[in-house]
Amino acid sequence: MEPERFRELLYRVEQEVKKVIVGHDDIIRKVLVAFVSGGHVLLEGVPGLGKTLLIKSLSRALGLSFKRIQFTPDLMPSDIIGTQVLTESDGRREFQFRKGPIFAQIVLADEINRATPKTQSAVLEAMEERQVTVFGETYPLESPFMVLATQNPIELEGTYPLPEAQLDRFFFKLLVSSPAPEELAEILRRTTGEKFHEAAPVFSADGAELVAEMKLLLRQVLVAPPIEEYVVRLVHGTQPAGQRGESVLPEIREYLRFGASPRGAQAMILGAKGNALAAGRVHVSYEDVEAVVYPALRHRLILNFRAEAENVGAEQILAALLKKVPKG
Amino acid sequence: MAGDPDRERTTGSPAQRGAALPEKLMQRLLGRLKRHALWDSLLMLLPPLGVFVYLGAFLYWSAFLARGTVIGAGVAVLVTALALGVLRHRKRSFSLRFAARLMDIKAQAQDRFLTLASVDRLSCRSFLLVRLQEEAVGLLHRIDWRRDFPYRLKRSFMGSAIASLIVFILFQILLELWFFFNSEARTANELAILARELARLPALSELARDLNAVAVEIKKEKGTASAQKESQIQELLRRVDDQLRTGSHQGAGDALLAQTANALRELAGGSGQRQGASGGELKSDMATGGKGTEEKSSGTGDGDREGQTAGVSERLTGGRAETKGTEMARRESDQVKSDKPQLQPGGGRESEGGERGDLGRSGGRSTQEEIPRGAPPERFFKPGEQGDRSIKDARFVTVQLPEAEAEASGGEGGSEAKRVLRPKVSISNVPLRRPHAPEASPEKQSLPVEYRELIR
Repeated sequence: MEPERFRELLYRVEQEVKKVIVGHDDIIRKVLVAFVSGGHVLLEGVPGLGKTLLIKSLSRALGLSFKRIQFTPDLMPSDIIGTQVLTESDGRREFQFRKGPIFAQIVLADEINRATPKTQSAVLEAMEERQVTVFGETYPLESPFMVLATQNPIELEGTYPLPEAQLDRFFFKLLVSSPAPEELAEILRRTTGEKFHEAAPVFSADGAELVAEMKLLLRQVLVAPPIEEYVVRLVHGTQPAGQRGESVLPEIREYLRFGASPRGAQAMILGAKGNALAAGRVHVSYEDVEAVVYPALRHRLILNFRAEAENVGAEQILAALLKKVPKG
Repeated sequence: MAGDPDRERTTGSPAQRGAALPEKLMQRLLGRLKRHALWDSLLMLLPPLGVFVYLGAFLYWSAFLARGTVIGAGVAVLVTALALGVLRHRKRSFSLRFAARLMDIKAQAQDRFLTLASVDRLSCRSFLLVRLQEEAVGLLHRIDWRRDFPYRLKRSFMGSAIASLIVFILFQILLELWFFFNSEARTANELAILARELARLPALSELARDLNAVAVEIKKEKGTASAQKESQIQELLRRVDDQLRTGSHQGAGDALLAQTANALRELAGGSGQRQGASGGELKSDMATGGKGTEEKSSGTGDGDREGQTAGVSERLTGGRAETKGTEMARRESDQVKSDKPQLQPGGGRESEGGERGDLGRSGGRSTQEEIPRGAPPERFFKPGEQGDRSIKDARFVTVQLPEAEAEASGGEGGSEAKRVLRPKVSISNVPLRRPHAPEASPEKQSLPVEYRELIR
């Protein structure tokens, strides 16, 4: 695939989603980048900001199969993965595997923090291995596969925060903010009028193949070694105690319990590559890396008690890190 | 340099240009940066080296250091400076990545040049690499080499220049202070310089060697006078005077000898003062005559010091001042020669002493000068002493008369119509202030009777 084709497809999908979603251009771009990078996205925001609508529109524009799972405390793993059901045909009774909603190309895990850890962990294997195992039998998931999870940061009563291991499996964590006044006015015009807006599919039947080509091209994007070294310095800089005893930033030492994992570095490089292609370039620049530092690392920094007591967030720590880590 | 990229862009096929131009330009920029770094290192070392050369030359010409010491120190400093320069240059060595990053910044190329300079070409897709090169070539027009990569003086050079200037000024101040508090060392320094100049004349080389030995000894003794040194100085003075009297040297040699004689007299006078003796021979004789001349002697000494300071500073600053000083000395030497037949006993020699005083030399203490005999004139009386004419509380400076007038009048007043005064030097008749009465008006002081009508 040519880089121009990649950019054109991405642009068309963005335009289709923007027919439904007002604002959130950066969120849309990053969700698409995560999609072509083969990652999953965790969207965090208060209810009513259009998270679910965004994901539905995206899946529609991509022309891929879409399933939605509303996570609740009584949701069971089998409700997600599927289960064996006893069926009878021709006088014979046998167990047959009934696929759960995880068997879709785009899965919306709505309010994922409302389910119990047992149910949450049922998604783990699917997200990482892109397969599920039921009664010892493994079922591969369809490609492309992407989990888009949402969570509400304010209604914490009766919720189960995602464990670090599961958080690390999300490629990006995106914060959905409230719309600006002019965006809100546009939302009102679009949603309260007679005309109903809906995204049209960009990818037709060959959507999966196109996505595979896009993924391949993304991995071929050129990355200069100094930029890779910059990413390594950034990720290594998040370690509260330097692996070789070297000095770390005071903010990191004081407020972090654990730093970013190698998955964080992978996410930064792949995200930067996607960013570069989306911008029409075939090489990664420092700007591309900086653009993905926050979504790729904010959920991978484990804050300590002091940080929570002093209301210090991961964004503040990352900002300090970006200031102090030298380029090239 | 600004035209180079343009010239390269206009040569070769587009494919060749696209393939090789960005890499070539990055290499060229790297070379340019390395040259800049070399200039930085050299320029940073230049001011300290300049100051060092000045100090070395000064110390050598002032005979503080021997030639071997100066050469050795110079070689050591030069080697150290070169080593420092090389170390600094290596420390600031630039890489191709750095050059590429600079080009990215100047061309706003979003790290295209950096990627081209550092990416592993074997593991890259060629179509992406070609595309990247084409994009980089398309951005080259944004780079103007003369504008974007000029050579500018760095802060290191400014800091080095300021530090060197401070060292230079401090050296000058300390030197002046040292000379101010150690006049004998200053004179010895001047003697050493004169010895070096005299050594160039074959006939005076022996004298120059002895002169230099005395100067070195004085410097070593740090101003401590000794009888041996005093005798050496007197001996040297005698030899210099002999040389002057023979007059066998050319103008420059005589001038140098005259300067040497003055310096030696200064040295002898300074030593005498420090040892508690009177400042000059005139004073010694006056003391023999039973008259105290302490004030007069000190006044002469001040005048000498001023004159000597002027002489030293002229010589140290060199150039026109040096020429002027030499010329004055030559004139003085000529004056000495022309005055030789006029040497007469009596007050006639006062005029010569006055001239020398005006030239800033210690002519008043010359051994050639005739000493007045007999009872001192009334003008030398101290306050309260009464002469024949009962002048009371009279205090006078030495007044210099034109020789002709002095001979004709014998120091006394005569007919005013016959006198046509043509003094060779200006006549000073400023009366001294009365002691312990600074508020006293100087006009009230009386002039000497015998000169009252002569001086205008």
